[in-house]
Amino acid sequence: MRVANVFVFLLLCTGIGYSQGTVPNAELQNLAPPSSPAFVLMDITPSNIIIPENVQAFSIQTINAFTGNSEAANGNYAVEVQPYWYVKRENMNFFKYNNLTSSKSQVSTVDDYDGMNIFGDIWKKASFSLALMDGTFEVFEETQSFISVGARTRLLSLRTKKQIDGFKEQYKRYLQLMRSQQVLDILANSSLSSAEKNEKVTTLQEFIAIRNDFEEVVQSKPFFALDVALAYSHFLGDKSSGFEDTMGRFGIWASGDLALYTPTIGKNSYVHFYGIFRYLRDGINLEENGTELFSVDKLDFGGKIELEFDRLSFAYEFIKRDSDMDEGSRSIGSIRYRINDSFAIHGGFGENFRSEGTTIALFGIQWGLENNSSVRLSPN
Amino acid sequence: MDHLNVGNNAPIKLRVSVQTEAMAVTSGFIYHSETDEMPYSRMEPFDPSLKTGWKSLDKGNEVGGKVFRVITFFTFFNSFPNEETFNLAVAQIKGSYIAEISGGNPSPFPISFTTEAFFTTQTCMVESGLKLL
Repeated sequence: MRVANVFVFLLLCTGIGYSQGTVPNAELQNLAPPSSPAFVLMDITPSNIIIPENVQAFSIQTINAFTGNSEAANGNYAVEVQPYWYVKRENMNFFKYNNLTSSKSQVSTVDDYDGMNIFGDIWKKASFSLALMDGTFEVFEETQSFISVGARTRLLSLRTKKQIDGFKEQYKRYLQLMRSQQVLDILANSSLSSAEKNEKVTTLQEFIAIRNDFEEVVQSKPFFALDVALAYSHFLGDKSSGFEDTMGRFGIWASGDLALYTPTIGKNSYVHFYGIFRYLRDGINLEENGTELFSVDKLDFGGKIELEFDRLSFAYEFIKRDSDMDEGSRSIGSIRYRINDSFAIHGGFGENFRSEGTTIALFGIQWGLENNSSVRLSPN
Repeated sequence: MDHLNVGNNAPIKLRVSVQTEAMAVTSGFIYHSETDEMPYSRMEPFDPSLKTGWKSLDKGNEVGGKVFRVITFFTFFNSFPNEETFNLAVAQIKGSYIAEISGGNPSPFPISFTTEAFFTTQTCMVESGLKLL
């Protein structure tokens, strides 16, 4: 059994522990591609320029990478954890969570919120990842194993005044509804259970309409977001091939996303312009004798354009690698389709670094573990 | 149902605080008896994150011998990709929610509550009931 298979078993057990459920269930529950820095560092993700929006306390990710020069590498697994959700929050409310701020010392109405904390996502979106990967990485003749750790967060998040005003407007509509006679008659009725009250309130046409509008505002993408990440991978070595364990790769990078809302195309449509800058200390380079690795410094810089149409998105990215070695560039088109609210697929197709003109395909999914779900891991 | 000796004191006041990412709206209802289906008096629903002070029950009138119920309705507008994360957000509500009455004996008096969360609608309800003797 490969180390990766043991690792994924441990991941699943860990996830079940997190879920605190009595039945070990797992459900494919993904709104985003595999994107942990531990993966991105090794250039095996469908996209190297990733600005994830979803919040997920605990997730498991896996990637299959197929290239013309190496066998299919299917032992790539990662876990990613957002500690924000596991730590007790102080002085938290809806406005603070959405980074709204006030110039007044005492806030008593929604109109007192007149600004935005552009650094407000640093802690909320911080995540840590751990990955184990098997592959040749266009260097080795035999499949080799790496273990990676990574961290990322959103350093900057900018919303337009129109977006901030949208929060206030929808808040007022929502509060007015919750103060209305029809809602109060439901909540005050002592003969109804909590579940019955909830169902009656949440199925009111006005509630559904306001909720949809409110979610559209809250979940609208920031006008500009800047994410930063760092990761380190360690080569586990292979004594049969004469390799000692050593540093694999270290990287630190920043990705910016300028998101232009295009409602004329669709309700949730955006045109994204991304940029990336990455420093790498790359130890996955083989000496001519074929048994020793050496390290070099590299700089990656590039961009990506993405057209997002609600469930479907198309993207193209180009990243140039500046180093003493000629590794070419990464030129990949990708497509992502969200089949439903619980499952999405993401694929990439093109040329990767070191692929020497060979076309590669990358495919990934990500899922979270939870209770009451449809896929049973251990049916006994 | 818990009880609190408020006697002839007036006004009796309510204060609610909670630390959550959700939008919270608190409503208070006063009934003549435990078996009454509908209240005879309602408090103006309020957002406990903005209205942090004490609020009078029944416009400051005496409320001895009545039943008081408090409901805080939470709606999460930031969608959660899985129930695991949602449950952690609900745990934060359970761990930080405080509803208390001022003006009885003892005072202030923390009211016990029950929490029920609904992942499908991304909502949560916290309910309390108290006999005011």
